[in-house]
Amino acid sequence: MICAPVRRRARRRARRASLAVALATIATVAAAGVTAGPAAAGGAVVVVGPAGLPAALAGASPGETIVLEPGVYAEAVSIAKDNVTLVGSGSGAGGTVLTWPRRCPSGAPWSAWAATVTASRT
Amino acid sequence: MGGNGDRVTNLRVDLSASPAVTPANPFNTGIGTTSPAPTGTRVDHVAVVGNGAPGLVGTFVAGSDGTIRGSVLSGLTNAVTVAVNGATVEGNTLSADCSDVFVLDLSALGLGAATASHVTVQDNTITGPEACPGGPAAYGAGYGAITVFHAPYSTVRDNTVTGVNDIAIGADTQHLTVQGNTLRNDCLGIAFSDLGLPDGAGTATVAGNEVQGTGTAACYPGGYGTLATGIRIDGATNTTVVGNEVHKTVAAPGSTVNGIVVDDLPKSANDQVVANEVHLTLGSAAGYDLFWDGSDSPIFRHNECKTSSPAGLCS
Repeated sequence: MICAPVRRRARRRARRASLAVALATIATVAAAGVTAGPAAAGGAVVVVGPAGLPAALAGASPGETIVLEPGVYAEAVSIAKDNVTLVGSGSGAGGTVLTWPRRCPSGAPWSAWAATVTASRT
Repeated sequence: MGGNGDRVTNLRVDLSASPAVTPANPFNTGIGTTSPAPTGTRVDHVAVVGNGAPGLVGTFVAGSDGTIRGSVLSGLTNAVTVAVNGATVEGNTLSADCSDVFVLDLSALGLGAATASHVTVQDNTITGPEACPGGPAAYGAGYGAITVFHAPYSTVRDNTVTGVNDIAIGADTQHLTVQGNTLRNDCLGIAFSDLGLPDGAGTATVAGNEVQGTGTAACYPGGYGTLATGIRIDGATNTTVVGNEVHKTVAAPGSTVNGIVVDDLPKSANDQVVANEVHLTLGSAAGYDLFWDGSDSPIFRHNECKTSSPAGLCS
């Protein structure tokens, strides 16, 4: 999902924003739907599986809680809004497992991608 | 995480399939902040696992008021890296990493803009052996289980560090407290050293720590902790070492090992070594319970020990 095209945008945005980025970030995959849950204090709760996470992140509002169902998530994930909580379903091997993006080539500039997300933050 | 107040909890990050690092991209990070200065980042009850490959960073947090708590990290080059003003690193379990908790001011080291101060590292459990990919020349030399570089007003307390092959707790900063830690069977216990960073090392208290069995874990050749010393004060000023216990230090035959050292460097001044208990088991190694290189005028008082250089420091 990210990698080549997004990396190009990342470089442009990073240049425009002149952001200094130290180190980078997280990871995740693909495969389920997005379900709106009951609102928690300060924001909505959204429950997602691997397929629903990119959309949930893209549409997240400040204060939102994103609950990740058990499973393996193998796409890069970034939180770009304030006060967003990413909650997994356990830190064991059978819980929510974030792994390196499958579609990124070896040696992908992870930190450059992260810089893009930061620069595009609203 | 690029926002303020973001939190990640209750999940696992597996870095074992990360791409190979390159000189242009030297790190693969599990959970990290991407904004230069976010506020209130929280990482808790996560697991981050690596496979010992070079450049794996478990968590990296910059900004202010960050927290890393109750997490499990292993097989990483740098498990927890913090460049935060007002951070808490608490109750984590770390094992088989190259560097476990690294608190540092990126700006002082010329690595970025993030600064660090008022960091508390407490109640963590760290277990070796250290696994530094590429050997000490790449990642291992000079780093330890808990390292504090230029993060004034920081506290390292009540941690347990066992079996690491370098320094259990190493620091170069001002206004530091190292208290109540249990350090067992590591290469070197505590090193508080002026390594030439801005402001130097000083105004510190090293109190009530138990350091046992230094030298049991083989010290990395080329690393800082090559002398299996219990507690070292190198060039730090206005530092008090009080109420510590240093026991059962061992070392390879022919090596030098000391219990508590106040060593050389012209900046040493106004250091005090008071009411410590030092009983070494040297075997065939050379060394002393207390060692002072003769520079400046540190105060040695009421220490329980048997041997010292120069003589007369035990009383």
